Amino acid sequence: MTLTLAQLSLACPDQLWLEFSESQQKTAWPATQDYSYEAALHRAFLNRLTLAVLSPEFSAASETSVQLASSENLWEFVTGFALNLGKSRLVIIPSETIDTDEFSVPQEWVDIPALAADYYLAVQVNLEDGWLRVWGFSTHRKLKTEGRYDGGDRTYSLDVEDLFENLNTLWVSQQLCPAEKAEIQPLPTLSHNQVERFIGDLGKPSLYSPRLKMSFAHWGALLAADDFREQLYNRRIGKESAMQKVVNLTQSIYSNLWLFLDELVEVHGVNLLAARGGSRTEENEGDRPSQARGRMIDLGIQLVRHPVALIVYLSPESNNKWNILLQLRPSGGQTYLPPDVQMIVLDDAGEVFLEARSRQADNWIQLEFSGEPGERFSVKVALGDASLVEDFVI
Amino acid sequence: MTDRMTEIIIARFSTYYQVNPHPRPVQDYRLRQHLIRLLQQHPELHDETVLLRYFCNQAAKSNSDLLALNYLLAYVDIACYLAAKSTYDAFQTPELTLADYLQIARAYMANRAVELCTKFDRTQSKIETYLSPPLRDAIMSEVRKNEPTQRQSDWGLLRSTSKKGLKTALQNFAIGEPKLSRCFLTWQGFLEVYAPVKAGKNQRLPEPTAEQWEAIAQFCTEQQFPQSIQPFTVPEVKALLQICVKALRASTHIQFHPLDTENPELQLEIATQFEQEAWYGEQDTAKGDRLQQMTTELASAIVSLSRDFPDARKMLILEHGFTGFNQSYIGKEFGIKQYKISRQLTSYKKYLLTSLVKWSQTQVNVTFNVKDVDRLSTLLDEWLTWYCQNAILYKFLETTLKLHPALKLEVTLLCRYYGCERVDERAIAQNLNIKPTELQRKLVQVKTILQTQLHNWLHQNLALKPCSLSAIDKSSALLVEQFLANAPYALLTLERR
Repeated sequence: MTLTLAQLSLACPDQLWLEFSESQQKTAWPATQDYSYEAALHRAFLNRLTLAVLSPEFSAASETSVQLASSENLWEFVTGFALNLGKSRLVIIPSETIDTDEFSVPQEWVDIPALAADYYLAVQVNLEDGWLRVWGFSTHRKLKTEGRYDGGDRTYSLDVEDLFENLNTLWVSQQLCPAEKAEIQPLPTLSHNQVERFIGDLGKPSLYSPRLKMSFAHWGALLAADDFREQLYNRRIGKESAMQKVVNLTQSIYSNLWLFLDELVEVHGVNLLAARGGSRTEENEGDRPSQARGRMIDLGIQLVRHPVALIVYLSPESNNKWNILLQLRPSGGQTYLPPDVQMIVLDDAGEVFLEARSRQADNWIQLEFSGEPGERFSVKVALGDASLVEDFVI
Repeated sequence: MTDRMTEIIIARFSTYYQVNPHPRPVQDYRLRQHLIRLLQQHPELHDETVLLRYFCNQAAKSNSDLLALNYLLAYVDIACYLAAKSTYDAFQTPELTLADYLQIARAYMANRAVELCTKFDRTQSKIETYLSPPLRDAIMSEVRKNEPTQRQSDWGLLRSTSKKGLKTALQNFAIGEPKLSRCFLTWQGFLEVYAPVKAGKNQRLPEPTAEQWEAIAQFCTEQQFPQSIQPFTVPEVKALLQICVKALRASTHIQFHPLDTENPELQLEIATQFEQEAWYGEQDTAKGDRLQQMTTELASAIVSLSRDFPDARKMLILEHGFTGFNQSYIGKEFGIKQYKISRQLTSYKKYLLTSLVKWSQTQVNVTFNVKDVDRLSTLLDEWLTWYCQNAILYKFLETTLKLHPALKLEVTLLCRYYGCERVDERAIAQNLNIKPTELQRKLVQVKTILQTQLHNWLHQNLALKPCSLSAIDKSSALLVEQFLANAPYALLTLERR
């Protein structure tokens, strides 16, 4: 026999039990293309359903308005969502497990300051029989100080007997008691190069969340920033913005040929300091971040002692346009480019669009132009008879 | 420490419940005798908290110290019984008896008693309150495992278990390291990758696809520690998950033997009325004082609540005054579904809790935290039961006993019968110059009158419908019995003179 909701709620009358319909379940399914793998799609469904069923109840019970306070793109990576309820922030963790002997909360909701909440609610969802229940809650402090941390799946867990069961305790506490948050260690600031590298690595398709693929400090810092998380999410679901597409440029940009600027400096001795008083990324601090990659170009015997680096900087402009700055710089600790090195921008018909040539004692040469998404161009680097062409699409 | 207090402690650590032929507390003779000797040798253990810690330490120190574990199991048995009773009453499953429910609760405690008793803080709550959530959930999970659902498939079973549940199952299945960690990691990978996308109701979940198997293996390879070990292969993760499934299936078979069947040579004796009543009496006196202090504030809160919600008082009395008259019955009385009754009661209690917290904060002039509020929430439930039973229903029954012409003559009989420690019907009847059968007839008559009067009161004051009066019959009979067992006979006798 199957226990009905009425039977179950009689056994735990102090808990909140809620029924949901088939149509509510249908409505809760997100579009397939919104998540990159099936488990994330199901996770999003479970969270959306829980949100839809709980919100009106919480609003009535707490006598305050309830607002979703976390992004839906988080479900690509981790379960749970946040609600703002008056002055309090709640994180809801839905789960389909039958055993409710422990409540596990992903570390992201506890140790990322922007995601952490005052209260954490454990919700059991039974999709087959169409009900859910809130079976306990904890404060941030309790979870952080009394919870068991499991480095294997990066969760904090509390046993059922250590949770508060009665939701009235929550409603009254959030009105009459100060918030109980433990101290949260600040997360590191990521450099743009790190962000690009992480997004490049974690953005590759996989059938599971990339949340455990790097240290929590780096992962947390990446996930905490809306921009970075959005970029990573878009990369994974294949819905990249124009800027990300232009960073992609060609498949080859993510091959070993295309490097971050710090790698160009460290490995190939590319001299960036000689230019404009610093690197492009530093100049852009505070603006929307530009992205930069570079590759070494060796034109054989012509440049045997002086290989050069082609660097592409990309940054957004207004009106759906993107600024593209191309630079050719010396490497191997050299201060100057060899003379007569050409850098030519060709349009999609192969016609010369822009051109520059190095002279005696040039630190670098550069070309700058704007483009719209979808436009194609090529960059040709040449010295004498030797040349190399790279194709790009904005 | 008084002998009486010692008896209470001994009873707490050596009494468990038998449900057949009818539920009753029973003392384990061996546990009792051994505890008496232990307390004689160690006077410092004459304290419930100290003794509890002692048994926890003993049981934790040595897994083979079954005696210490048995004391802990006896200590928590009241919680097992109450959780079994409440879930059994709620579920009414025809294929499972109350004894089965108790068995499930005990099986759960057999694994967790040491850990839970170690964490238990007597100053915060009663053991049955503290253990109620995990026990109810354990019973509920166990009963639901028999449901014909997706969980019957291996993949459904793996998805429905918790981390802790799997770990316990694997350990009980004698899986040791390093295999245990590899099983665990594979299960984690399975959860990360597998999604039961839109499986129909009661359909068995399908096996992961070849692509998913590859992804699970890849996940395990990435996450294993140290990473230099050989990569996981698909056949390997399949095999490891099968071990998990077998362990989980094995863990659903409860293997627990009650204390008496474990020790067939033991003599059992029914716990004396004295011990039980003494313990509850102790509890009642301390609790009564504490609850009395809250009454002025909360009683006036109920009055103001009833101004906005006229049904509030009636609903609270029915919920807290009558054991066994559950929210389904209350729903029928009000013509609404049980879940709506639950919401309304919750909102009434929220109002009362807010009043109580505000009042308490002014009393101690301290800002409360969530734990304080939660403790007050538990206390509020206790107060509501005390208030509805003692201050309202018992008070009415006491007045009826004093004023009803047919009852006031029987106060002496009741005093003799209920006021003594051990009931000897023949001696009481002889003392009253009546036959034992006459004594029984009079007792039945008293109970019937009291119950009838109570029903009249419920009808007149709470406007209880006839169908509800019929449904409440069993609960009101129990209430009358409890009242008679605890009525203030000394005062009644004095007033009669």
